[in-house]
Amino acid sequence: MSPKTLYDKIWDAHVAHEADDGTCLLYIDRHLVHEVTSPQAFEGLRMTGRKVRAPEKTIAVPDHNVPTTLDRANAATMTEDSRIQVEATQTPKNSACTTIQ
Amino acid sequence: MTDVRQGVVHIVGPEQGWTLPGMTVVCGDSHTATHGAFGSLAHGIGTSEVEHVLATQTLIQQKSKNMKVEITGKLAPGVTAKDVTMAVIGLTGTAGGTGYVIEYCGEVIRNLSMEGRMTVCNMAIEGGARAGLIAPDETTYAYCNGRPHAPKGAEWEAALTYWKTLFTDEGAHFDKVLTIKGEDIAPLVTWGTSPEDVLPITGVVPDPSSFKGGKVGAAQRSIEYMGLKAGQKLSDIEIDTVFIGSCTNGRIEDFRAAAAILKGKKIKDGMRAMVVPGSGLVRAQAEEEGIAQIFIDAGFEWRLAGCSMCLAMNPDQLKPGERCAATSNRNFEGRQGRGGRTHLMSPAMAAAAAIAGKLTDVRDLM
Repeated sequence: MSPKTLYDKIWDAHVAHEADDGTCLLYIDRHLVHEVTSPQAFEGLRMTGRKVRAPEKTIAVPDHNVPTTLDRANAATMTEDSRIQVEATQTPKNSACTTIQ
Repeated sequence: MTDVRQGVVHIVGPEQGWTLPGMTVVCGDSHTATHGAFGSLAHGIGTSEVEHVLATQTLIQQKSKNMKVEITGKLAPGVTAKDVTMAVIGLTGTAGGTGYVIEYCGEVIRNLSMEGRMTVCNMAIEGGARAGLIAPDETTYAYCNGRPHAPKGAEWEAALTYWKTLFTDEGAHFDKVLTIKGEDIAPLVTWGTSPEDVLPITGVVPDPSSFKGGKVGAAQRSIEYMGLKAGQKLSDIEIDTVFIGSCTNGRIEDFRAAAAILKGKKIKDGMRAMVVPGSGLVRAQAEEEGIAQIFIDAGFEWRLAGCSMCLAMNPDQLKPGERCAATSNRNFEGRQGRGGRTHLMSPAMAAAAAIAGKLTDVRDLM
């Protein structure tokens, strides 16, 4: 067996399928989610009637948009767009994942 | 936003034991590379890929090439993991890692804490790499042991057995190798609008004509945007804002390093300085250790957890022309707010800058 790099080992352990051209389908152990890049993706799932496949491996926490001042519980310090995005990681329709409020 | 565990996703994952050695970790965010510090293959993905992973728990990928970055020897006092990762980008450039997954190794990496290793891997993406990796070892196991979502009992033992196979075999092939002597790394700052615009704090703003080819114009534009002059000493650059935090440097060790410089001192009059914990748990720990009070006594604002001024997507932003000593990871035009000027550096260097009112050599305050 030829020697492998650390990267080779992790890669090989996660290949679910390899196409003829070398393109691989890689299994994902952890999917971390924040409020900016996920709302469209959740909406895409909803539109196509699909569900989050592995809720226990999908962890959502808001970070990008949240105010950091001590009064942030007051929604007035957030823009409307930010508030909607944060809620999208936490509202029931998306809660088929692990959430940190 | 009310859970004490809330924070920057790349700080929360490891802290809760969701990130473990040998895993594949993805997130719709470039700095997912952070998790590579555990010997997990971790990288950012786009929104359409986020949807694909949500639905299938898989991702379509082409394998990258292997690159080894070895940091030998020891770091000098005042030199930190942030300086290590910036030094690498300074040498490779922002495209040097394109098409590669980097494995960081060598004595300096082995001697770093998990916090420091996360800082190193965090910026692998700024060097263009798909991901950064560090092989797990006793330091890694000790960090993971007892975390809320880490395996327990017999499962822990089984995991440990597997994790101990996660290293690069003797004689394995790397497509590219870079070796840096730890002793050669000085406290660094960026002078321009790219993370590769890195120089030791003892240096001067470069002359654009000293660059090659297309980089002459880029350097000229950078210097103009940054409001600097070629030949100006970096330690003469006055700042008005300091930001300590982010997924690069928002962990407890970062705050300890900054507090060690700030203890018993005050920041310069008129300086706007904020320290933003990477998570509610980091915040609580810093308060328990008395670090928060050191920041507050020095004149820093002690904030709640979030990405904050790293990326200008929330109320924490620079105004046009404001100049910030920042511990974050990106310094392109407008990153911290439209017209804002960013100098990247380590937490200790940012603390020193807050006191001096200008970029300054932290070694003079130690």
